Amino acid sequence: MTKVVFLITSGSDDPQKFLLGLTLAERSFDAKRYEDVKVLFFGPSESYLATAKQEEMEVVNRLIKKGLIDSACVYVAKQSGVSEKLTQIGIQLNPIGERFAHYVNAGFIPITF
Amino acid sequence: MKQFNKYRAFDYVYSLSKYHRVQGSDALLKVAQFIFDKLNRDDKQLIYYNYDGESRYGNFIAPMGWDPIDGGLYLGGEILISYEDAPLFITVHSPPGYAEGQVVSEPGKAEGKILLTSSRDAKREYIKAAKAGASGVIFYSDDLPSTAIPYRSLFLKKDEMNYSLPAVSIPRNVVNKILEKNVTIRVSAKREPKKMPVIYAGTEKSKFLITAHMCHPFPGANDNASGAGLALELANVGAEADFLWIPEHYGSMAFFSDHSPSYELGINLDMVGENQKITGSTLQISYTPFSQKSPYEEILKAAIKDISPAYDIRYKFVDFDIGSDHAVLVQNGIPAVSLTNWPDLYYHSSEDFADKVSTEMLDFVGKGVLNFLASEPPIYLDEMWRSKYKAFLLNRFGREDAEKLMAVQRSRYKNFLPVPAAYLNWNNADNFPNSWNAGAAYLEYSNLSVQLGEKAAKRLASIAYGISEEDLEKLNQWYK
Repeated sequence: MTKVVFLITSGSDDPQKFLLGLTLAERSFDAKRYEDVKVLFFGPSESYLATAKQEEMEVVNRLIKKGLIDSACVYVAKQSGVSEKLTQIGIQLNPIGERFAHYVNAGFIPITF
Repeated sequence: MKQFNKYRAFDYVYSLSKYHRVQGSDALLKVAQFIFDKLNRDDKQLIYYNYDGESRYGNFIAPMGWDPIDGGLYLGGEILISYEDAPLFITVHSPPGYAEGQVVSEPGKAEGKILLTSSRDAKREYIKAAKAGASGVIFYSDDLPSTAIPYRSLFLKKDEMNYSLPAVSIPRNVVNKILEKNVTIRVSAKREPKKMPVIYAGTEKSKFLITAHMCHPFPGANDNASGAGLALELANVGAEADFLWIPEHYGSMAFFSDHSPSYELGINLDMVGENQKITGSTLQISYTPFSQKSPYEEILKAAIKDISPAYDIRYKFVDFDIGSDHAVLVQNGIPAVSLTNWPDLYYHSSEDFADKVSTEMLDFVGKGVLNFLASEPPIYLDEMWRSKYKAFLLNRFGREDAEKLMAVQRSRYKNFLPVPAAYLNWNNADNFPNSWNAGAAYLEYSNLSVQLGEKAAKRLASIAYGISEEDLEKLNQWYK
């Protein structure tokens, strides 16, 4: 079976795409469409996540509980001043290039939202 | 600078394992001198404290100096086992003496007789036997291989010197030969104040402190000639860390009684040579306690994982426990981890020979530590580590308690946490099931109490270490 990593980059520029990516990741996981599903946050999505609406946070919290969210980019979080907020939510911060490479090298297919 | 060499490390381990390096003995002083002489560091110091039975170091009272000389166990004129056969035969810190009598296994019937016991709590059992009027004590082990003599110790203090019955330790395969029979025990030993050696190589400028205890009875190859020998090799190949060799617990408590160094992480090497195919052990790498976290443990973890594919070694990361000197570091404000093979089939026995030491294990631990010391911390180490730790706490404790523990951690990392007040006493901790875990829980509870209050601290320590709040309260009462 195929493994998929969702790279969420959209934020306030396209909040609909932000939520669509997370929802698709969750439904794909719930329906066991893939062998494994992971989510990475990178870029504008990180600032947006820090101030996400209740509806969006509910999805994020469910994804955390299900163990789908790997991490967000530590450099972007620091530059955007949201590292503490993301930590509060329970999102791990890592160098995203390393995490992305890890998944690609492990055979995950990347899908970007 | 020399390259790390696993064969040279093994040679140090083997050399150290030839000494019956009991705490308080001349052999321990010789081992300290051996390490000091081989240590190639300009900043090395050989510091002396006291084994006089009364000096207090932190919460520990040093035992009296002790040197075994000779001894034997006789049945009908035949010698069954002697000190010459195996130095562990004389129970560590047994008074000198001579006892003749029937061997009994019930403490209640020990008056005028020799008590045979498999109790691990040797000192308590010994004192009970003395009070019951026994003439001698024989220890054996229920769970070691039947030919192994267990390491049992008394470590009598100055005010306990009036206990005079001799104590010896035997392998289980001798038990049936002597039970209910009349035997003779003879122990010759010298008790007098001795110097307690500690070796420190460091100027406290390094971020990291590597510790290893250099004591323990012959042969003690894995416990802990392995840690002491590996630390010597690491120091001599230029590992960028400070080093401390101590007699276990007593020596580290003594050192920290008049030194207050600050380090980002302490790495304790204790039982790091096991050939896992023989000993059945797994290399356990402990985390720092919740009350005193260090982000550097994540780098150590990554450094070990990084080299692991090249080795056929079992290892795992485990919760903090109090089994070795890293707990003393923690008590003195230094976040610390321990690398320890556990369990070990030959632990604390006469069979812990160098034939159970593997050069592959020494190589794995040595290169893992060197890889860690050479690692450049990521620019955003603090952010990465805090986020990872928070996610872990959320998963384990839930949001409310995770917030509390994060607050403690932040304070600790910024050095706001006062010096922990937990009182550790190894002998009495044995009264509790799974005492290392109970000790860790109690230490955590004590430390967390400072910031979170007793109630929350007790609950969190209970959840974290699987020790009931009732048992923690029992420990609390006992320590008080």
